[in-house]
Amino acid sequence: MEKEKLDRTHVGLQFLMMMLSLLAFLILACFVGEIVWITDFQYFVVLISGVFAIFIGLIALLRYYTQKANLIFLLLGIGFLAVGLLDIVQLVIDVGGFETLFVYRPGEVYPFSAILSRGFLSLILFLSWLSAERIENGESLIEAERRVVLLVVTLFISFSGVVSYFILSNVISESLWVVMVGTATLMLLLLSFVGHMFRKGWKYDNFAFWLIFAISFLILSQIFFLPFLNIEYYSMVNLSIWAKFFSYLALLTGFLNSIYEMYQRELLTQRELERKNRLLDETKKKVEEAYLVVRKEKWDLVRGKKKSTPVKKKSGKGSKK
Amino acid sequence: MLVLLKILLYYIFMQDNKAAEGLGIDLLYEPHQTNTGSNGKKVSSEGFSFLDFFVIISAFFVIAFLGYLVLNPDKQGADERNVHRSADISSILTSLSNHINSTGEIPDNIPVNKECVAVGNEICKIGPYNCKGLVDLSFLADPAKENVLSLPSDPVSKSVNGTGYYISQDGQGNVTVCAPYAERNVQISFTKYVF
Repeated sequence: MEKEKLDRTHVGLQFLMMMLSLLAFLILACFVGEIVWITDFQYFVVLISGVFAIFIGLIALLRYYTQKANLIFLLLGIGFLAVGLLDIVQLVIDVGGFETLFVYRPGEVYPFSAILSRGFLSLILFLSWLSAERIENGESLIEAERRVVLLVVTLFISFSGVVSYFILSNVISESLWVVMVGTATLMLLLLSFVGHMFRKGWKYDNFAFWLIFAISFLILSQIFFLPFLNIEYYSMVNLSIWAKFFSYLALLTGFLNSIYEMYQRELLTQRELERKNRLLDETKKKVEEAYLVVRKEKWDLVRGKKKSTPVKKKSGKGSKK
Repeated sequence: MLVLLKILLYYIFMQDNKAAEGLGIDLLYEPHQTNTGSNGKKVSSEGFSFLDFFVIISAFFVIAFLGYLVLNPDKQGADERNVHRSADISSILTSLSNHINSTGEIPDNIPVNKECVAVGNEICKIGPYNCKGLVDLSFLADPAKENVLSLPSDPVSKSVNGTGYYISQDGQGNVTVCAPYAERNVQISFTKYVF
């Protein structure tokens, strides 16, 4: 079945909105150093982001299991549950009050714990592009579903395992590692962005646009985190986390929009079905009426023949005579 | 790699004025449909809209802002001025400390106040200025003494008579000089025990 294209103006407005949002965020970054009340939102926003990520994961899974059509929802659903978990792990590692649980001081492993969820999220988004490509090439859904679940779970276990090992064994203490992993994360995000843009799903599906929107804010978040920009360090960390939070918001909007569209489509299908049923009823009535008319005419014809037959016979006989 | 190759091919074809069909690539929309007009020339049926123009301009601005933030001349200027302020209040405090060491007492006109930034704590400029309601430290610039200091002013202070720097003491030998006009939320304040 050929997909229906979205209105060109609608798509254009969507991209304009994305660019203006990015621009507004960058303008905020220009003036953030002068704003007195912005001090340190880090832990607060990380906590909200973690909870949000779990919520987004659940919504994505709900969307997938409501109508099993797009594997990206499954991938993002499981992925975001893991990302939420990693966000909360980061918070537990960094915040004081849990010192007795670990062998290191809070904040000692901060830079590396901060890239846990970012790294994993970039992997998931990159995979979302790859899986979308594969599904479009006609792979069977059940087979692909099994692969996606296995892949994400394996990735999560191996990623968390390797990183935790490095953190706990104090192998990684240099910030150079953080910059390297952060750069790799940025590269994956850029590839995902380019991939989703050229896949052109945004021409047909609003969710594809929201995915691109989220990736663009994640790229901004990573640029602020690394840090490439000339802003105060605490402002950069704050802005980075805010950008990540906005990207989560964008994805949530995308999922909710997708669910809304699905129900709207169902509603339209139902209306169309009702309309067709009505038409069918009307046609049936007309057919019945037509049948009755034909039957009556036939009856009349037969009766007329019966009536006219003796006359004809008479005349026939007469003529014969 | 595949994507990069596709982009490269797209631009090669675009340079040759050929459609990049089969590559599955366009910038934002499908390649414009072209119809043949009455004069035989090709006419584009789907032009470049105002909205496209806005999207491209705003994308350009996003990149430009990122570039601006990499350099951030505002912050560089503010950082330089803050360094200047730090040096200024440090030199004022050092001169004052030397003066107190030579006289053995803190000048009476330095107000006793826990808060450095308060009305009446601003240091007055040296010269033909009205120092009423300000802290007069002109004794630091007495040419007869060794501690000659031309009192510096804050780079952004628009005060006519004041320097933009404030001074206070806690009454127990601690003198604080601060720069409340420091930019980008930076707190610049030095305290020294002068005895």
